[in-house]
Amino acid sequence: MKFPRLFALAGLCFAFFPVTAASLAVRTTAAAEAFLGTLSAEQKASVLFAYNDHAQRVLWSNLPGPMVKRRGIKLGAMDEAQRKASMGVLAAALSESGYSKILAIVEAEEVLKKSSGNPPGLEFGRDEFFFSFVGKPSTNSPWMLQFGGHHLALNVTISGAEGVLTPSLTAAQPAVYEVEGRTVRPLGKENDLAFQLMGALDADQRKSAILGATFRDIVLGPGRDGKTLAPEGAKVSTFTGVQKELLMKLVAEWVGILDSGAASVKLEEIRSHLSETWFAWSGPTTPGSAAYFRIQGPTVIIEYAPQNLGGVPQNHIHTIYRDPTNEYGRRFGGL
Amino acid sequence: MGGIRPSRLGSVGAGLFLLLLPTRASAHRMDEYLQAALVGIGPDSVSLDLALTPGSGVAEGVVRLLDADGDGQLSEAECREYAVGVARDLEVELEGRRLLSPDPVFEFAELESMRDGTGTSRIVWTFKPTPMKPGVHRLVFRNRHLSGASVYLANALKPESPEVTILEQSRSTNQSELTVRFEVSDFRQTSPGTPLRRRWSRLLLLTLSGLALLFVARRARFR
Repeated sequence: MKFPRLFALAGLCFAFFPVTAASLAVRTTAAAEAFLGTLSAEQKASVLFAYNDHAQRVLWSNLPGPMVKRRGIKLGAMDEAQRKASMGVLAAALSESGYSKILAIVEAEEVLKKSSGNPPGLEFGRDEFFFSFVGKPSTNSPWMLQFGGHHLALNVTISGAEGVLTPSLTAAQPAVYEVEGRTVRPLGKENDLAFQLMGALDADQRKSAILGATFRDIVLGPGRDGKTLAPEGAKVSTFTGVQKELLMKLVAEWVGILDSGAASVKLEEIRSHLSETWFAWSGPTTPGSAAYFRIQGPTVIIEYAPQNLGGVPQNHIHTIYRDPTNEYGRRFGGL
Repeated sequence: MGGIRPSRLGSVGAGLFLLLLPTRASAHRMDEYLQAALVGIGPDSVSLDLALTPGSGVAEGVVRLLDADGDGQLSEAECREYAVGVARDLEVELEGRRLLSPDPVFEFAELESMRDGTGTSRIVWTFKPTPMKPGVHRLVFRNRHLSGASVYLANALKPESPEVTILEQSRSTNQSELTVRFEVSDFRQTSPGTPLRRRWSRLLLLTLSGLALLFVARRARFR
């Protein structure tokens, strides 16, 4: 499946699985059942996990396989019909822009594979992304859809009309690539909006936001569930209306990956806590440079960290999105 | 099995330094030792949660230090010795006075996963300093463990106790040093327990007093 075909598939999925007014659970459960229907009994058994399977719930990472031995069924083990059906599940659970972002991250992996091959002990490429369901897809009880591989961990917990995307990790290497003359930046908006916001702050706000240290990676990455940092940086309560809107646009780059209905609810919740939210920055403030930033409120933690590992840091990004009050849909119960 | 004695640490350290020298740029943190510290502060305690992830390019040196007898297995004693060795490279100071390292609680990754560069080990220390008086305090954390090849992160956690407020965090550029200014409120001077618990205690005391008075009054009336 080449790049243009993959992106064409994005459109096709939205055509085959139109986003209707039905609740998130109804749409996604229908798509998940359709996908399960394409699998053999053995494949199906490898995809389904019990809702109380904590080990599977927390089995996500930014690292490539087989460094991290993921469970589920990988895209490379599916036939064309199964792949299409699996993409239909993502299309049902995510917004159109979120779905495109995820495909762009997956495609970056294919570009990485083509440019570097598979180094010893590592497996890159789009075939190495895994699907799993923690809990049986259902319209009336919570379950979780996991899709992940190198530089991606989507953990979508669904309960009726409600959906939760936390914790989820988005990352990209390369963070900028070209295919057939088209430039793709999977996390470009996150980067650009952050610099735009930093540029919109006044000198005092900027001084408050900047942390005097180098952040070489995200702090609350895999394995740091349930931790909440002491907030730092500039208080969003000091922001003007324009600055707050820029911050919300930036936050929406993560929250808005999820289905638009569920994302709107979450964005309103985050907006209601803006007076208790903080924005922190580490690194240069000139657009185009590599900088770490963090947004933290009572119900959201977002970190964005360029990776300085010998290459161009701006071309290798890790990000994390968490909600300390609702990781893995804890508020839905059953955990 | 022998522990990591200072002399042995010295010789192992020299070999380790060579092994830990960055050898090549990579797509992942293969040639660096990520040490991420989370510092928790309570009114009567300080916790330090250190997550240690050696990249695959430097893991062999860490494995050699950990698996002291070289049998390919990690015993509890070996893990403890390593944790104690790490503690020697750390400093936790409260008001300028170094806190003594308590017994660590640890969970080490499998050697194989460390060699892969995916194994994260955790060591947690819970310090019990003299209960802190109300007011502003200063805690400093320094990490010098294998500084030649390490990447540090150091962050304070949001305090679980409402009696503690983090005022400011400042770090050295590479985060090998973290200074936390925090305030302990004066709730503790009046009575022990959390404010909520104290509120309920007062309410319960008032209710019981009221009931006792009512009981005495009724008895006096019917006497």
